[in-house]
Amino acid sequence: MANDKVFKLLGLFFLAMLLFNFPILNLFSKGGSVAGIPVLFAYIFLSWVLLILFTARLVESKPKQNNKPR
Amino acid sequence: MDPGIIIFISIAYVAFLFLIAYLAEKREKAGRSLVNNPVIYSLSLAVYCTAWTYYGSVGRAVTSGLGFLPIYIGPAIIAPLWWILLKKIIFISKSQRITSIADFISSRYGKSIWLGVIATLIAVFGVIPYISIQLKAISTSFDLLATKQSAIYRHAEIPFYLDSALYIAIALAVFTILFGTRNLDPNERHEGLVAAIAFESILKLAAFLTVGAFVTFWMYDGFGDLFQRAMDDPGLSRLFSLEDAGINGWEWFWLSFLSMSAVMLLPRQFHVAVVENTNPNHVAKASWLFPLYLLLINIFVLPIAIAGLEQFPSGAQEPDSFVLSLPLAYGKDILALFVGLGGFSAATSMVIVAVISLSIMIGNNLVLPLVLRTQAFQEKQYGNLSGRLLGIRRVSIVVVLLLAYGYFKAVGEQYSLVSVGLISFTAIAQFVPPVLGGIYWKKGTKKGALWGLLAGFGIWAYTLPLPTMVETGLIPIHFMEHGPFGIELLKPHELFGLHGSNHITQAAFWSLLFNCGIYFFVSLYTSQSPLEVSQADIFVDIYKYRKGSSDYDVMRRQAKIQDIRILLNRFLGEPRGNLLLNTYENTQRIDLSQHQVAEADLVNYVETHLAGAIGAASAKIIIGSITKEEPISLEEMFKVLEQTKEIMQYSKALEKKSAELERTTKQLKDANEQLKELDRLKADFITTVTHELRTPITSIKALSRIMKETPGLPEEQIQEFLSIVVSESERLTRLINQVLDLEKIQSEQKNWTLSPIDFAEVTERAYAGLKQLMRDRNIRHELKIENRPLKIMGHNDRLTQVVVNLISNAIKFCKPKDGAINVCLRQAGGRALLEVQDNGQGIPEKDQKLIFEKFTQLNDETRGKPKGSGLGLFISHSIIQQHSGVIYIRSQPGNGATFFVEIPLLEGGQT
Repeated sequence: MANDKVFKLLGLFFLAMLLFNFPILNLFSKGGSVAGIPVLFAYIFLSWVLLILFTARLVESKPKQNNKPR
Repeated sequence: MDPGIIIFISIAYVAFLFLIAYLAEKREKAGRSLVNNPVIYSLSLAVYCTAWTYYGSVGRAVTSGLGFLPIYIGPAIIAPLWWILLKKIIFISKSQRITSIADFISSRYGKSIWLGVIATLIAVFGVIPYISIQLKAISTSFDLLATKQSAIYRHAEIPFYLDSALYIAIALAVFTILFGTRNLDPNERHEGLVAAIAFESILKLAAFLTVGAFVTFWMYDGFGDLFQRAMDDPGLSRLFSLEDAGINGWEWFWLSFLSMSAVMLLPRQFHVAVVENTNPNHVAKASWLFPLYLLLINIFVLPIAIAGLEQFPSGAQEPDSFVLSLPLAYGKDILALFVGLGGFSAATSMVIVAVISLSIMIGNNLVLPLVLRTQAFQEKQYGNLSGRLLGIRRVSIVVVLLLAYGYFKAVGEQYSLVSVGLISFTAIAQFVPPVLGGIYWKKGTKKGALWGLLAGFGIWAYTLPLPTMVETGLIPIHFMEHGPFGIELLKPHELFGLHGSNHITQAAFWSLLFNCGIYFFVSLYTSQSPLEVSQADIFVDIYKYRKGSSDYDVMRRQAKIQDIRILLNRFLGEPRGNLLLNTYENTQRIDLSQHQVAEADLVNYVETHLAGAIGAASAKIIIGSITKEEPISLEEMFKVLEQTKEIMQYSKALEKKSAELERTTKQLKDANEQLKELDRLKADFITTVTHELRTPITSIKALSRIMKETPGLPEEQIQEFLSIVVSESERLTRLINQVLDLEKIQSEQKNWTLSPIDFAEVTERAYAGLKQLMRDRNIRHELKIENRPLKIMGHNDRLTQVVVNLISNAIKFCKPKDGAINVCLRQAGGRALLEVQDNGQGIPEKDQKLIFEKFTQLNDETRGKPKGSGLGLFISHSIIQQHSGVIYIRSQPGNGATFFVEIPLLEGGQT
């Protein structure tokens, strides 16, 4: 249902708000590095990629698939 | 590098943009729009990335590490909501022919002139600093490319006629005028412009990625190497922690919030995202392609900043121009030129779109409403206004760019690109309450929006642009340090004593707090005019209107058709005016030349289309000047809305009723069909039964008569006849018994009580009863019971009847000589399985289904006379069904037949 999609998108928005704001952000802001990449840099860009993937998946899903109960 | 070359390349580049625009417009005219696709749409949204992004992000990263990112993460966070928010705004704007953000706000609150004016002023003053930084970026990069060193002179100190920035501003003005004001499109759509912007977006991304790759992979050995060096350097490692870089959560939040609002409400973003939108569904793809674009253009920012800090530790180069000075320092002039071109494209795309959208606002929402009120217009002394409209726009383009240049010269130079850009973002964020409230809250009133905007704008002006004037000497320094008249609470950067936060953050907080609060409370305590009520209804419930219900007749207006013609010709030019009226005639199927007076419908139609060209508020005034208005009173307005609601509810109720009726009718029809079918079956049954009865009776009658009427019949003959009579009577009796049985079974069905019985016993008993008969006929027979007991829920007598019936059938149909019958009972899964096998003729496949129906007798030459009533198997079938079992047959003609009966075992049937 279209409504379903609206709530999923809203959920994604709030999740992104949470992930890209303090205090969660501060957890990764302590310095240090993963595989040579600073933790904060890696965290932000990785979450960003995931956000894009999820947004794409949600908005590109056809209404028919959303109709099916899961 | 020779400045001549740089200028030549810039001009060639601009000419190339014109070529793209020209081609795009040509394709649009040919009906093969280049722009009508989601990728181009997403790229045009990337006009968000300006010189600020291109040069300024690195500058910002030098001081605050990843603190430059909220500006790009904000749009990525809000992007999932575009599918909801932006799409709704697009739908509203398309239906109302809205051409700018100011027009949107004005239109929502009753097409208010004053709101349009205020919103336009906020947009213009808000965006001017933003445009000024583009000028700054272009001129700085020009200087840098030409002389290879930055800051050779301060623009503020040289006379304006020697200043390159002024000439850049003038060139941009000419460029923008050529791009945006060639003709007056009623929908303000410029496909050529969009195509050029999309191209610029590709170019700036490519250039930035190139310089990023150059720095990361040529100057250093990739990200790992670069980051490692930075982390080893105590001066640089602070960049990887937000706290050390001086960013706190409060500031981070506000920056991302400001960018969220900016990406949708900045005049240029509104223009490309809403006004230039060709298809609302493009929003879906844009909501992930655009964040992807942002991610790509940001990934090298920090590496470039680090490299710049390492290469120029002394601060010899401005951080805002590291992007250029790094390739220059390595002698890569061609690369630097390409990078400079990327920066030029980032800046020009922003300037062109921003200035065009501002000029539309200034023309439609500021100048025109004022002009239209003048006496001259009222007396209809103007000639062709459509040329005049373009004139107004051209002038406003020049004015805006000159203002931007003035701001740059006065104050822009002392501040970094980002800090000036954020001033603009904060101004634009003032639009959030009236827009968001406007599309989701019907009670938001014009007065609420107006006072909220004024308060927010006032606080913004006081806390952000005003302090930047201090260095120019316009504002005394003690004003900043001790507040006006020595009132400390009013210090612009610590308003109301709010210490310790960045001045952008506190300005955004206070201005939006007052803006929202005033919008909300004033809305609650003021009422709306009828027009506001109807506009609010359209904006909030746009989807309801899109589903075909037409616009409310808000204004019952009439005007002379002649006047309307004159008006359209003036504002849109004669060809377009005529086209508009012809379209109306065609869709409404009326001939306007037959009428004197235009009805409200036509007046509204003209107003919406005019609104596209000159803005909602102006269109309202113009139409007002030629119509006799009978505005509906508020009560009437509510009544209309109320009625519509009632009618909708009523029609919904009706729909429900009619659906119910339909269902009932269908049920009745079905029942009727069933009855008819039953009736037919009954009639069939009686016909068949009587027919079956008649056959034996006829033969009995005939034989008896022969015997009676023919004396002296040989004894053998009589004996033979008598035996036939006896067997026929037996058959008759059997038939009658079975019919009675059938009746009984069918009437009893409901009252059968099934009790646990042993199917093996039943089978044995039935078999024993028929043993003698089989022996008499010389039939080999065998009974095999593999498992016992086989407990099932069953009716003893009825089941016995079934088994007897099956074995009797087998006896009847097995080979006349050398007959053989096998009966086998066993457990199969959770079921008892009975097999009765004979070695007779078998039954052809096509008949296998039929034999379980009433009165089916397989009657063919080889078989001779039927030996049964045709009811036996049908009765068996009914009985087995009552036991929740199945009965079926497998047979191959010539190889005998096997009947199977399956009945579910009792739970734990083995015990």
